[in-house]
Amino acid sequence: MPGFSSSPDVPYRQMTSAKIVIAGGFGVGKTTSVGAISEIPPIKTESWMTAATEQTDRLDPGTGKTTTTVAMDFGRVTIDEALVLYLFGTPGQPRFWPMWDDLVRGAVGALVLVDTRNLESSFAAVNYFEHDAGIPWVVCVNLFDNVQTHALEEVREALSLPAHIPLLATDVRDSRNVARALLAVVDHARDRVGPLAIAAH
Amino acid sequence: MATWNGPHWKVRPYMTGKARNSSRRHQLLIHTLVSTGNRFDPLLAASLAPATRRLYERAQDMCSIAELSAFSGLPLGVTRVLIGDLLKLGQVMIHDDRRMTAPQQDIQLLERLRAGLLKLT
Repeated sequence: MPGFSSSPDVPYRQMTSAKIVIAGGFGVGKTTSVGAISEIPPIKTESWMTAATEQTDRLDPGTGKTTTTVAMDFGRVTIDEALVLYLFGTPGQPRFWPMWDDLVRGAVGALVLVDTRNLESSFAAVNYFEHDAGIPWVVCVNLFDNVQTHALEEVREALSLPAHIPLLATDVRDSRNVARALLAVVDHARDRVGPLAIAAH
Repeated sequence: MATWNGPHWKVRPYMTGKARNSSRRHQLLIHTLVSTGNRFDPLLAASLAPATRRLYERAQDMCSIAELSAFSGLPLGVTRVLIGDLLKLGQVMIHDDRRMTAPQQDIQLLERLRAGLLKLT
């Protein structure tokens, strides 16, 4: 906000924020991964209603209640003295898609978590990022208890993942693993910008 | 600061936001950082409506719109509208939102993220 920051008596603290969205089906490890790497306990907000109200379903036909609260987890990671990264876990159900648009706006990219024991639960997220989101995305198989049950190529095929979408597997309970997965998102974003832009920079 | 015991609405959220659902002048994303700068004015705080006052007091420490919403127990949409009002009044500031439009194409930002995340691996 230039009018404010240019005021001579107000020291302007240069601080930037970035955002990575963590998506995937119910119980796939979104909250776990946010909690593993966030320097604050994941904040659960159940106060996100306005964006989704247009398409809500009736929770209880008897009461005529047509709204529901939507839980969203988020956490933060300090990247350097002037950059903070926010992580947002998306509510899984497709009916919250209008909210997803709001979530992904201005995001660096998205990490889509999948559980090989329940791949279908992440179909909606994969579909959304493939067709509607317009931001870089990476798919990560959450290795529950570090057990890899399927080869990554099988997972790629089962999800019909395009060849250019990075696919990795890790146990998201470990903060270093989550950092690596987020790094894959950033790397993929950088690759998309392309060598020309890097050279120009 | 009065304690806020969660979303126990005496009025509907859209009334708090005066029936508006977005701030047109500023693009307030959920991770946009805002604060009062060093200009916190207790007299102004006392004159504000309760929800706005809660946000204004919270914003003494720089934080994101999402954090403001969660900490003050206000829905995100309401938080955006009320922070938008405070912005118009010049009572809160946005911290560096130049990088918000297309961060996924901002090589400098991506490199900084890489460096920071590498340290955590």
